[in-house]
Amino acid sequence: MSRRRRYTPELKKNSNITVNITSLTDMFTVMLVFLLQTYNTSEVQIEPPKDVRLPSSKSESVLTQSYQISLSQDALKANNEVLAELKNNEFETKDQEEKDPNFIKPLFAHLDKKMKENSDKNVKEGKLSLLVDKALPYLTIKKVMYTASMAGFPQIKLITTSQNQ
Amino acid sequence: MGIKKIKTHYDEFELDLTPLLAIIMKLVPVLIITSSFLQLTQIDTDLPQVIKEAIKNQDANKDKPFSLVVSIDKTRNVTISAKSDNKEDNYEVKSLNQQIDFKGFNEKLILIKKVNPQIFKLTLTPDESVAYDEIVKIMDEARKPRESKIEFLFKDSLTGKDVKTDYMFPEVVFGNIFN
Repeated sequence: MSRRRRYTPELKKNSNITVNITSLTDMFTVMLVFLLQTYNTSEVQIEPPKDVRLPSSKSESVLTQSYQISLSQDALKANNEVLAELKNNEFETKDQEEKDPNFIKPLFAHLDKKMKENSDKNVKEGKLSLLVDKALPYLTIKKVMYTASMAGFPQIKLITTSQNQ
Repeated sequence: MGIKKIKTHYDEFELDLTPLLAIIMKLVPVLIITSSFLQLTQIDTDLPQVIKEAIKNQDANKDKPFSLVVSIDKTRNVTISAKSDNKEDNYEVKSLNQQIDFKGFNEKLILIKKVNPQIFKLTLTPDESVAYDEIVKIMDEARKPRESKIEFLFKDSLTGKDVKTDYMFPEVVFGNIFN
């Protein structure tokens, strides 16, 4: 019994094969439009820390250059450096001034040092961006704002995710 | 001599999409790498620096002193206090199931803004237990009316002309930072 021969189409040696790329172009055009729409034109790129869940806001203000501080449910950080730790949404007693519990000593020391060392215009003007976890109570944020203003950072910007996107 | 085929406009022609695809293929990876899908925004808050703010307030409200204070208590009741030189009006927005009534708060602010269109500043004094998320929402509600059709007419101090705006109280100052 002879085996059935597999069918192979006859191709001429010099024939051109044209691949239809129309559907591929369609797909890439859709992708391109989507990417251009979501493209962020802001000069400042802020990457929020993983442990901070930012609240969403309808604010349309564009991000501006400033010194950044993040406040999660566990720690207060500046440039990934832990300045103070939090327990049950409160700063530890050792980090607070005895007579003035709103004053966070490590934060003041850090910001004061930055203000003296740094020649950056935004730091000199006292611009500070706060990346705060949305679940934190006002008491904790108030302490950070109070200490920041004491250290010469009165222009505080609250960073949020955009609700308009 | 062969017979020439007569071309008609019904004949199909193929557009060469290869260069277009080549450009898109280069653009797409660049955009994927450089774009950030999380769009961030910021809310500016000025802290009440005693001297600086006092001067600013005096300058702004020499003829008609006015202050608008929004307080949020532990039970999420909101009190709006509108003080002018000769009278004080208090409005209360009761909480709904231990939550701030954001819609009611927005409606009350629209009423106040209609009476005081020149005022854009609001002092916020939340209770220490109020969550940051709630504060941001309150600031959002104070910024613009929920209904986009509502606009307010105010006089531009520089040109003297009437200007329409949908902004209510975009400038929020925390009043109890130093308390």
